[in-house]
Amino acid sequence: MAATSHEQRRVGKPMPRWRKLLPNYLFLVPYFVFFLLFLAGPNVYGFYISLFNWDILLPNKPFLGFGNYQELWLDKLWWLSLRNTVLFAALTVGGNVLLGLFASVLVKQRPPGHQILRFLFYTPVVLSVAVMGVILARVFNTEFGLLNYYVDMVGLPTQKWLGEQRFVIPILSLSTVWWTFGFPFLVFLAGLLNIPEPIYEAARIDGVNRLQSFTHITLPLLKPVTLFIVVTQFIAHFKVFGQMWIMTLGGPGNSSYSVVMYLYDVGWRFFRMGYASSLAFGLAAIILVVTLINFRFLGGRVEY
Amino acid sequence: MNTVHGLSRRKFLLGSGGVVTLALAACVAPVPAGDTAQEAAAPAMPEALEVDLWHGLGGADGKTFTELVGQYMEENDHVTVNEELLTWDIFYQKVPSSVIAGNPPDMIITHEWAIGQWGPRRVLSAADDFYDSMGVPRDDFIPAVFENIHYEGSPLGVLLDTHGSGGYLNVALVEAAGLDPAAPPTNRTEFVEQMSLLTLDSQGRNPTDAGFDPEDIVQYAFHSHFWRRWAMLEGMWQNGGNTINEDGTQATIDSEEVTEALAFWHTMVHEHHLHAVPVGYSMTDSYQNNTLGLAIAGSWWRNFIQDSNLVDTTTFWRVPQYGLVEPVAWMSAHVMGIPTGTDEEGTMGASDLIVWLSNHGLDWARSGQPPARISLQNDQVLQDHWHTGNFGSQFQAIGRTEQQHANITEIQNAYQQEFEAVITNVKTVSEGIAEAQLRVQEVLDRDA
Repeated sequence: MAATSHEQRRVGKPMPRWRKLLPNYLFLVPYFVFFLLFLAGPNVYGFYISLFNWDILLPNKPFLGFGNYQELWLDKLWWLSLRNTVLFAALTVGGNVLLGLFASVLVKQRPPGHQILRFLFYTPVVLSVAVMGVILARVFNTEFGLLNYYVDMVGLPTQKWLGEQRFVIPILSLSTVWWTFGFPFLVFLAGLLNIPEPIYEAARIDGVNRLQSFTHITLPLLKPVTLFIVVTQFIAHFKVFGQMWIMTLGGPGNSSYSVVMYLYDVGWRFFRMGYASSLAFGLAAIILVVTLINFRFLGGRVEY
Repeated sequence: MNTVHGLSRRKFLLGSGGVVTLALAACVAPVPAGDTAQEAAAPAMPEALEVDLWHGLGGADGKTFTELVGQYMEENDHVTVNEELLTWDIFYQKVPSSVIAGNPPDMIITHEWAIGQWGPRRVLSAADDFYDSMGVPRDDFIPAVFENIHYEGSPLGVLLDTHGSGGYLNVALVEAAGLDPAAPPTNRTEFVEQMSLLTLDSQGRNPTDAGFDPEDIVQYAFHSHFWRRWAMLEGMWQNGGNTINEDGTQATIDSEEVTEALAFWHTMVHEHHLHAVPVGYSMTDSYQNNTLGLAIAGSWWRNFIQDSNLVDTTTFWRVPQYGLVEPVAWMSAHVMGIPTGTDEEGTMGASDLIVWLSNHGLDWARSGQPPARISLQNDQVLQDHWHTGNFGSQFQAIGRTEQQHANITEIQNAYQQEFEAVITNVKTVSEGIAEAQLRVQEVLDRDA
């Protein structure tokens, strides 16, 4: 009798919810451990460090509370580097989105040689920042640069491209767009290929021209893809370092000095890890705000 | 009694505690070898030694250094030197990280100017033993340089060389301008007059000629390689100024001497057109292509001049005096040191290599770097060399080192950025001076 009731329980009573879900969570454990150790942990510790005058090598590390953040608020160099960074990121993301979209639309039309175009558009992405920086520093060199060679050849006045404040961020941005637009191009292309063709056919039957079809069908349906690209590109380009380090060293006169260059200087050249951490959290806060703005304007639901 | 697989809870806890205690004991940071190894009686040299050496000698002098290390290993076949060449930027972040991690290399080669920041941060061990018992003479170095590698009364290493800036003159261009390479300028007026003949636009006109086109310059008179650093320092020193006062408490950038020096530099670039706007300009390319009259570059350029087949067309000039008070040339030195925390065997191997390199200063001079020891600098063969002998004599006569400070890198960065903004017309002279003064003073006040 007892055995029967036990069996009834085994068969009849459903498995508790937690036991059902347990294997799922167990599969997550390895990632979660790495996340805690290498992402969340260092972030919490970084914030802790930002509350101290933390010279990496000195035994005495006085507690400052939010003193580093107060210093940040009053630091002219922080605001200058932030202005440079925002300008660079805005130009680069704008350029990448426009060029990536244009290139993907072009390739989707499958013109002659479209496979070669696809290859050419993506190839610069595989270069390291050092290679890209060295190549383009040569291109924009004042005396022996390729650009000034052609400018001179067509009879225009040569320029000190990287030596002038008005040119330096646009040139760095242009260089970065050439280097990185292959990624947005690829994602846009995937997004374009995902839009069902019958939608375009129906529009054509209704007399919609190509421009209308692009603005009223393609762009709205690409919104999720655009959001993904804009958010990831902003995050990537707010952290700009290598191009400026190699091509201009932040010059002329700090005109291309980025937040991450400043952070690197403060942390690793001046050993002020506490202040460098506060710079990092300041930048993270800005990135968070920009990301939320992007979600607000591009994050609408798309159904088709 | 509660048991864990037959083990009593008490025994289990005792055993666990013992294991944890042992583990913690193993994690205790090693005692810096600099304090212990050198105090202990010298142990016998092991049969095989490995020396991990980190340095940043990746310029034209680097190949000579690697040859020298090879020569050392040939003569001492029981020693293997593992050279790790880093860019100086990476070097200056990796060394402190390795010391904190308790896993430093056995030996590093750093710069004299950096000792001021290594000292209070205990990155390097005291190096008195080299001078007290290993035969390195204390009185055979340029005093200003040797003094600068001391912290709390002890030297923190052994000088490898004395290096710095000097002039590489393109003889053909100078002669073509009607100047005598053997008669360098001796004051500002002569300097501007002579250099004005070396700058040319595409029509062959000088800046003093009517119709000269400053937007179409094809040949500049001179250029300073690390202009943000040396040129600015040499300019203010030649005027009798400096960045900070002697005890390192006051920024002195807004002094008349420094302001005048910066204003003159701005004039040289934008009015006299003797020097290119430095950002986006490659001095090495220009010198190699015979479009630069005088290159103010480092003593380590000797291999570059040789490899570029420019020896026959180049002669040496001391750093010209364009300041108003006295001639001065920036100088520094490479310092061989043993990081804090290096183990006993590493210290032993590194010490032997350091003494060997110090004794082989003449071999190192093949790189163009004058030996640190004055007795070697004055060696007749070296003195007769067009390059290295002249550099050595210049440093002995008019060389000057930067003032040491615990935050020297931050101080340098602060005024260099502001001065660059002036030279590139982003800021006016008075704006740049005021901002540099403020920034340097902030650094000094923070750690007062």
